[in-house]
Amino acid sequence: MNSAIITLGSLTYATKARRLFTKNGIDARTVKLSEAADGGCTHGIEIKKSDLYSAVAILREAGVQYSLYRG
Amino acid sequence: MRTVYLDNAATTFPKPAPVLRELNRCVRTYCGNPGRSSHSLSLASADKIYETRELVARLCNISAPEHICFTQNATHALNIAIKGAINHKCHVITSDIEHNALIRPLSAVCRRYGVTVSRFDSDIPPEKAIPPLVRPDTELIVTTVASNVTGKVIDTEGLYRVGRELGLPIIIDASQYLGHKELNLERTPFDVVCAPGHKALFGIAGSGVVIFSGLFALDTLIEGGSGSDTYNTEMPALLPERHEAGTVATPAIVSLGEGVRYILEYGISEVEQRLSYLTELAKERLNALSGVQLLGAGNGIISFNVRDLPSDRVAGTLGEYGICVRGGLHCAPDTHKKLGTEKIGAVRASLSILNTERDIDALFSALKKI
Repeated sequence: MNSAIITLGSLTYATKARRLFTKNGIDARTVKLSEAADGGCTHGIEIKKSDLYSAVAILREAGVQYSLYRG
Repeated sequence: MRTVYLDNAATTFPKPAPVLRELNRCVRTYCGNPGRSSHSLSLASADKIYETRELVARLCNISAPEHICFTQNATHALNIAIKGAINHKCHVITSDIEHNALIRPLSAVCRRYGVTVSRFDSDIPPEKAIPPLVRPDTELIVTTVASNVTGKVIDTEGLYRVGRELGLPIIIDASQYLGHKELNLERTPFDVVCAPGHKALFGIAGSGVVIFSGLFALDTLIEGGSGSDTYNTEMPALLPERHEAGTVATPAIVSLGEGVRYILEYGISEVEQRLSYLTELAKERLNALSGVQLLGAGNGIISFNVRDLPSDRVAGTLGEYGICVRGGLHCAPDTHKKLGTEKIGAVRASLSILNTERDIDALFSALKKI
């Protein structure tokens, strides 16, 4: 797999993350995942694996909590 | 006969053209259920909703768009804030010019928990009016910052300062303020701000906001689906989903976003200047009419009575000339008691930036005939 998925706490945070990534030149798409979290449905952002470090840095900078579902 | 709409404090009309264009585009082309799926329409709706959060955050100068929660209107917002903040017996401070949108949920928690309330005199600066009311069990200030009857505006900086000095959280009803005047939540980070979307922000009915400057914790008013954390029987702790149970009103929110964009492009200080100019003009014209008693003028609102005629009768007669104004008590019982108009109410003409001098002339001409 050439993609990585970062999961966020809610759709709002997933949208925030995707918009931040896009603004910073990272191709990203929102995905809904029911298998990623014990709690049930959650949202994630799918990006290229090669963009993962930049993406994580962007989220840290923005203070957005995340976890890696598929790195 | 030309219709002259002067009831913008109830809801603005007309809405700016970009609001109508985007509303139409939303309903026709992308209005899926945001947050429930990952297909293109669901994600397009989610994106527009997030964009609206960003626009409202820009209007209020806060850095966290996710602290903007959408509601149906200001009443819904105030119910979320008041019932979410008060869940035990305590003492609360409010003003003497409140709308029933605030009075009734506050009365509900009074009945439920034995909460007691003191009202500060809105004619006195908050820094002087509020401290003498504080008791050991005072836990909250919840107040309007602009009257929907007299146009009176409370000094928000003074209110914020006194709340912080007293260590009391502050919930404000900004129904007649947000979109008319600058609300800078970086400078005055009120804990919770409640406002409608369909008044000064030019959204359609069905839109409103609860804005959190920080992470002021509120119990939930309504519980239900949030599109995430499915197996948790409680609402998520994260804003905004915590206070947005069920499907949100995407078209209303999108219209609100375009309304806010319109205001940002117009410029909030230009909005304030335009309303001030039109209000002064209307005040001047009405003052020239014998038999017209001016009760209050400011912030786009001009309230008056004609001789001792019941206000609803005057509003009805003005309606026959195509003038849309509101008579009665404006859901603000304490304000009318304060004005001594609890029997006949008042005629309220309320302006938006889309009104013109010609509209004020039309009101003046019609009043001359009464």
